[in-house]
Amino acid sequence: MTYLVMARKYRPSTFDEVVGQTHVTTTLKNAIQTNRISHAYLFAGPRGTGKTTVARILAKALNCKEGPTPQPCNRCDSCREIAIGRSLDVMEIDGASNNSVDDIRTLRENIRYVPSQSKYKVYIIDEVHMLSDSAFNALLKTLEEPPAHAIFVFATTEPHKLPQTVLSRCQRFDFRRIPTTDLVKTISDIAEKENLEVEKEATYILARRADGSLRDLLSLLDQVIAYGSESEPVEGGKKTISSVLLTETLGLVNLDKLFEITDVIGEKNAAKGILILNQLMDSGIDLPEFVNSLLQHLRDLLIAKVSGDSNELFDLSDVYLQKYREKSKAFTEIDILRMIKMVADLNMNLKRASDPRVLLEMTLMKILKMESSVDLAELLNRLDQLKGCSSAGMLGSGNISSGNPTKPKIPSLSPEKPVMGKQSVDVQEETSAPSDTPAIQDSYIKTEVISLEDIQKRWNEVLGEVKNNKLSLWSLIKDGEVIGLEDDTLTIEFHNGNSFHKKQAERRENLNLIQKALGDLFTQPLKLKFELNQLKGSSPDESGNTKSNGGAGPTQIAEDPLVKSIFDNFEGEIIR
Amino acid sequence: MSFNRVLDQKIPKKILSGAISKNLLASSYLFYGELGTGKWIMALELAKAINCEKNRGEACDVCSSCRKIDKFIHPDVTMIFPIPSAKSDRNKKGEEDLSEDGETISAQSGKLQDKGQKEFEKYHTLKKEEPYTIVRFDRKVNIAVEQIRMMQRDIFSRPFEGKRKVVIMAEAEHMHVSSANSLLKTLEEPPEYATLILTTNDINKLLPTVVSRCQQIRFGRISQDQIEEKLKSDYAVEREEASHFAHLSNGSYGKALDFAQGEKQDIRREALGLLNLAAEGRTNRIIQWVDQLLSQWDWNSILEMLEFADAILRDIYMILEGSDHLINPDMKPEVVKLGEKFKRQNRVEEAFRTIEQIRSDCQVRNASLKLALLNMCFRVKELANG
Repeated sequence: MTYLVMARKYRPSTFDEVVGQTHVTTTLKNAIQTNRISHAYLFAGPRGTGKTTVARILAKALNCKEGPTPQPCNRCDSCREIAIGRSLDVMEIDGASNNSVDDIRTLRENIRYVPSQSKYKVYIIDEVHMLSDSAFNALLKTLEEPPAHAIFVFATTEPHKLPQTVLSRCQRFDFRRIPTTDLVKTISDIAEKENLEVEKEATYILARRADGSLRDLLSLLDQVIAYGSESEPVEGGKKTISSVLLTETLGLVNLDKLFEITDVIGEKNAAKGILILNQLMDSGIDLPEFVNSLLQHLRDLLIAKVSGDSNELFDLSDVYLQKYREKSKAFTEIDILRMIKMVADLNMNLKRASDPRVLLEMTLMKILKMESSVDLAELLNRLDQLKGCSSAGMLGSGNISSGNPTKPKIPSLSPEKPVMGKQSVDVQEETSAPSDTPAIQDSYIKTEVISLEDIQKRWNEVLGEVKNNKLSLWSLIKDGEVIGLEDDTLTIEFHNGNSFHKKQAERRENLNLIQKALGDLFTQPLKLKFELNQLKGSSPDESGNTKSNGGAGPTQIAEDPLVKSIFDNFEGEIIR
Repeated sequence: MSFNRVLDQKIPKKILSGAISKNLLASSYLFYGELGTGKWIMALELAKAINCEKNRGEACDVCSSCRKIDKFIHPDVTMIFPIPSAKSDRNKKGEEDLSEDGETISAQSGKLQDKGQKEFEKYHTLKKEEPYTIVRFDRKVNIAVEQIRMMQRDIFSRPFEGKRKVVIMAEAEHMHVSSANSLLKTLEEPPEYATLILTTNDINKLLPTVVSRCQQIRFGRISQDQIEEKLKSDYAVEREEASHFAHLSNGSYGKALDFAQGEKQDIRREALGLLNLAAEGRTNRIIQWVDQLLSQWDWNSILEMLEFADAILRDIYMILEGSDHLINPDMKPEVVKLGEKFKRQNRVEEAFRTIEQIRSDCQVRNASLKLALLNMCFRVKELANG
């Protein structure tokens, strides 16, 4: 005897057996009871949620010997014929294979004849989204006013592919993804029938993997049962399905490994991260699967962080719940969100990548390098505190930045740089405008004051540094001349004809490069000002100024207390 | 021989032999995993085991059923694989062959045999010689609706001499959308005497409705030791080389074979050459090189070269990170040198992304290969010279 896969064996045969679609089954039952049966139904929803199943039950219910009944007997000839697909009056049509207008024309010719034995002629068209345009259109008139004995049931995973004219002629039922709790319950029901012992942890893994589809769940079970061979311990004749067995069969990633990964991220240990990845890969995990579980893992971390004491959002056993609560403390919500974003992007790109492993490695590296983020409001708060602090000595770089002071390889631009990834560069830029909040400004100038001669002497070195970094920039500024130093603003002069050079040098990334070169040689942070030797007084911020002039928007924004506070502290300007 | 012919893959072996011995054979399987990990050969062995006359749960390799399947002449084992879509065949329309099936279908099948014959033979000879061979055609391939329909007409007649009808579909991700959809009903409820086996290198490209109807069995990477051993024993590859190829193949025996046959090495070298050239940044030489490349190589090789370039960039990234886990350890000096040019990891990453983008543009959007390559070289040039 051939084996019937569980997905077919346990296909529900009454409305009450259908899992997780009560909104559909109740409606249909009531419709049958009150004799308000529509002539065209559309069942839409994701795979494995019961569309075809309900369509068949409906057919049985309508044609059952005991009259249209919400509880088909499953014993009469009609019910049995429908179950094995031999009924003359229930046509189950594969819409994808019979999708041409000719197929529909044949259907239209046959639909006129009264049913041979039953009350209704039921046409179930599965995968109906694959019908061709002309097929749909050929069907329209029949669909709107079919003979009294005809019922159409369409089933599809992609209702958006159906023309509006078809949609409006059908009563539509949307099948939902089956909730995890329902799946868990189904597993225990089936385990009983199949004489299986399923560990609680394994139940959750299975339910989660099935992703709302009953069919997926059952084929997973089939697979695991086939894998768990005779050598498995047998207790009282029951086969045991353990989480270990599952992990092995499905190439899943152990939760503990995922915790290891997040630990590594917390420690910023790149070498160890690569090592763990390599180990995982050699142990034969499925990469996309791994990325998915990592995403899920991060999601759980986040939920653990924000959920407080409620357990509702978790489909996890309590053992791990505690662990998630514990581990989530190492990250801030924003950090977890950023990680989720990166991993989600990775998940998208993975599908197109030639070598998913490389992408995974790079993403992990990026996450490891990610600076922990600081809330802007909090940063301002800290600044306020600093302002209150009179002693300049306490204002080392570490105080302003958060836990992780500097990026590993790139030397920091200047000592006072607050570390916030890209944002910090912007902040640095804003401070290059002349200042009128001496409290902070003074505190920054804690290094020895250097003279113009010092700089002029070592200017060539600065140029050399710039040349190493960006040749094009070097060729632009090598003609410039250092002419003045006022406070901490260094003035560089270009010949009148070289306005292009000046403009280019004033670009933000170029300014940063020069400042970085200066920062390597002088401890004192310097601001830069470029001039043409005849036209005086064009400052680097000029372009910024002109831009900010237009529109009423900026003034409104400037009223915002947070923005105001940024202005006061950072010398900010609204650029856009 | 039997399942032993399949390298590694302990879990799939255990699932499948368990399914046969416990009479739990599913009606539809989906074998998924990377290229060259032995999915197809496993499908073949499964077909043999199912139909074997000795009935031991594994193929005996001596009974007439096993031998017929080995020769691909068993009437109950159908093979489907993607073939290049031939545009020129469209106007041929196939010879009229009015049999009882009605004229449309036989016209289609006639047309199919017509256009598929050469490819069919090529595929079979290659796979017969070495089941792990990765068969490549010089054009884009797909599995057409007609192929599915032919199979469907055949599958509903009972097995001719074997126990079960088996359909093996290779590289199912190449199914056209309409092919995949028309397979759905058969896949879910095939006749009781039939088993369908789909294999795919990329499960993400399959419709979720297809995937959900099959029992999914994952094929992981083959251990390097086993690849190395098999290269040595089957192809008499030197020990050192074998180990090198095994490392490069990243767990795919099919890819390892490609390396052993030599041509892939050239492609890999060329990938390094490309990066060097682009990093050097002399425009006229880049243009020259691209022209030369296009005149010598076909589409597939060039896309493969881009894959290798990706791997090299990844190594550069790792070198800059200070890690020594390289995909291409033999190129380390060059990689280090390139690393000095790029200097910063984010530039390497950008270059990596550029190449990925170009690859998908060429594959999915039909971009002009020449323009894409030039564009890519100039972008890499910029990045390397920052």
